[in-house]
Amino acid sequence: MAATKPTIVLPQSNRVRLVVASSVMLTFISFWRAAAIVLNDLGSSAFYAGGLAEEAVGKAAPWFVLGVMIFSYAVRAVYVESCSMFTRGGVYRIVKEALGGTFAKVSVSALMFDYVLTGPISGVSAGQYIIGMLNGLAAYCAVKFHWAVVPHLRPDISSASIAIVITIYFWWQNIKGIEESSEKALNIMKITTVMVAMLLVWGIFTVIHRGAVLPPLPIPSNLHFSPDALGFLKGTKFAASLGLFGVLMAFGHSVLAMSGEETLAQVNREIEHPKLKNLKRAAMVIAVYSFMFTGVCTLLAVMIIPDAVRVHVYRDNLIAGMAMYMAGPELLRIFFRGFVVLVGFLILGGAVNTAIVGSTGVLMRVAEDGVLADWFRKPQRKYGTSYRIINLVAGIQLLVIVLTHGNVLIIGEAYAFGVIWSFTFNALAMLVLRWKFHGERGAKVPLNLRIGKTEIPLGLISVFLVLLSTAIVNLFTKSVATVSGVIFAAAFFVIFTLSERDNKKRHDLTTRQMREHFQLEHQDTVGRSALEIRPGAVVVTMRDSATPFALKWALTHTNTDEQDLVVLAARMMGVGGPEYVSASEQLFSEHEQMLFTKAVSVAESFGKHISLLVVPAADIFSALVQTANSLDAAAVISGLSSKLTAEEQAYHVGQAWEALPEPKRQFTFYVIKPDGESLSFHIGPHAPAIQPNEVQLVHRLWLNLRRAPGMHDLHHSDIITYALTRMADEFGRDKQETLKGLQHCIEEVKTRRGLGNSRYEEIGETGPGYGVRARKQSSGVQETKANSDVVNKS
Amino acid sequence: METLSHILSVVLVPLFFAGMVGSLFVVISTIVGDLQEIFTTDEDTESPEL
Repeated sequence: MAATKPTIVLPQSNRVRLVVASSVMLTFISFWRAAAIVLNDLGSSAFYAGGLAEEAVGKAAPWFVLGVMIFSYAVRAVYVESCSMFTRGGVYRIVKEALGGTFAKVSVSALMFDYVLTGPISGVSAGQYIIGMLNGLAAYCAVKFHWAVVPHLRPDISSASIAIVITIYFWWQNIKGIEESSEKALNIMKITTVMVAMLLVWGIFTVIHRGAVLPPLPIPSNLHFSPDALGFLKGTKFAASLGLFGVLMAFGHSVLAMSGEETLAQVNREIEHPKLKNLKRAAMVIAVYSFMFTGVCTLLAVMIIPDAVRVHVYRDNLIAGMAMYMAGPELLRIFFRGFVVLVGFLILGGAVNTAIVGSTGVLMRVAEDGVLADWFRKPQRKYGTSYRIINLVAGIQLLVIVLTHGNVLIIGEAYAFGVIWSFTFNALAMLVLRWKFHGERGAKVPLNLRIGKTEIPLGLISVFLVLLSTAIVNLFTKSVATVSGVIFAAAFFVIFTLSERDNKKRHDLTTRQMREHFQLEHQDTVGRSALEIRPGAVVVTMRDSATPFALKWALTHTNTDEQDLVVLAARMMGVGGPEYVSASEQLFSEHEQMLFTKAVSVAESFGKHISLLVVPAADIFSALVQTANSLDAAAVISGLSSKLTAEEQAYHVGQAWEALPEPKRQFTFYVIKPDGESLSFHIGPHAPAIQPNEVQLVHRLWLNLRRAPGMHDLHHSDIITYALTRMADEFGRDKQETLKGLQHCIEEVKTRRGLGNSRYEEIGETGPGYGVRARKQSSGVQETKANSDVVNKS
Repeated sequence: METLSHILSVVLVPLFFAGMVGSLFVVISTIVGDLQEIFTTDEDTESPEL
């Protein structure tokens, strides 16, 4: 079934055509999932932000946390505007567009500080909740069972140890390349929602039951700053009479509560159509949720937990303290605390992962822009992940945990520096873009005053003013944050600047060499015309120049005169990567150059022609399936993954195929093991393999039924259609009975298979793989040809 | 530090509170606008994105 069209004449050049696609292969998620991903980061701050704010400013802190949560909606409006202009409207992209590369590097350094510290603060906070519960249980048991000695773990050191274990666990998961699962985020948010609902209902009941009073209003006379919260102002006369400046300071000490907004910009590109509306829906869900969780729960916690223990005992596990002081039986409260700790561990643990993934994503993004040395981008030999970037991020996080001895207060202070400055840079850049960027915007921050032809963005200016004034005040009142933040940001800025300079020389050389060896062609989307190939081509993936066994297998089994062979290299964009990468932005690394050179030399050694294709991708399986569909390919060949089995690879490909919009065509997916053994899987609906005895059964039925009056026109296919229709009816009526019968049938088939009747097909005999024909290897070792049943859900 | 603190206070406090008032309007307008938009059907056309 090979294509019969005449061979297309290749370009008159000895260089191999290398098509570089600009559109990134993406999979899309609902706004609920997008909101869940953001809330996993933003919601986790509810576990520590309230306690830290009260430590700094006193009992009026919940009002400021509530104020920050309301203000965060305005900050989110800025992000929504930026996302409506650039699909990934994160800090780096926006600041680069508005203020240029230098400012972009400064802002991304601040953002890195924010992202990197999300890990330690979340990990340590998770540890604080666990240790707090263990110490509480020990104290409870000591009283109950009259223990002579009460075991007590040191919260800081023990929490730091737990944070180190969590960080190392997620470091290893990221090295192995675990997939970012929106499903997991959604599940965590479901269980968190149960906890939040219980906290709110039980908390409000407790407040009414006890007649608890609201915290003191957020006015200067009610603010009591701790010595550390005064920062560089400590000891000055000014600190004794702060007035309204104190309100500003208190707001600055509470901004931690809105950390995680940048994740919205990162997740935006994956939101399904209608993108902008769904982004706004996600923003609304996030606003309501974070207001109720971080804002209202902090308020209730201050009303419920007695003053004597709230900061002293429960500062670092405020929600656990809230659980322990609810109205109700003690045992029930202890169980609820256990539930809070479990949820806290899940969401805070998830935030540690988000920190590693987010930091890696940001660094990958700047690396793709040539701002970070290629050395960082080199994929891990076994797992193909950017292990050097992951190592760097996890290394810094572990260093922070060790240096601070797990002190949440110190980490929290430093964390606020990254949060507020990255927001400020983003708002400033958006303000500049109001004048600089004249293109269409899907959304605008409201409150725009039009005078003649000039539009004054009063709303955007207002948000920027709040952020800027808070950021400047924080410089003076958060001494630890200022010193550590400036050192960190300066170090990253220097690294970025030096890397960029060095990279420019290297990339110029690489690009020149690429142009010498390859006929580079940039295309917006992938299509057969760009590659000049016929329908029914074979797509081969290639990741590592050292192990081209899948390509060798494909070249062995493909007659390239009849069937075109396309070598596909997916350029992984990392989390939060762009949706579109222009030709000028697509810089080739030395690794990619080696990859393509190797592919061409292998093809030359076989004397066969190949086409090369580079696609930017967010998910490898989705990229593979989308490319195969766009190219109308009949077969996709991939090497065996180092972390997945062939069946798992096929399952993911099948899932990606199911997610493809129509029209889509079936293809055969081959997984090649390093020893040359191949496994094939039909992707998409296909004719099932029918055994001879089943054909016999149909034939016997046909013979019998045809004898009946009016059945002269009966065909074999009519019998199958009738049988399937009846089965569908039966399934509709009695699902369980049908499944029982089917299970019985499967058992019978298995038994028959054991007696020697194989249901497996030979490669190339049936199915849509056509041209890729398996054959006996010359070494005499027969290839395994396990054409497994349909992988997808059809 | 005393002088600097006073200057900061004189400059930043009005900016902060003016910004807060404006931001409050932004929040209210955004919530109203978002509620109106997100409860319309998905078939409505979107503004172009870049």
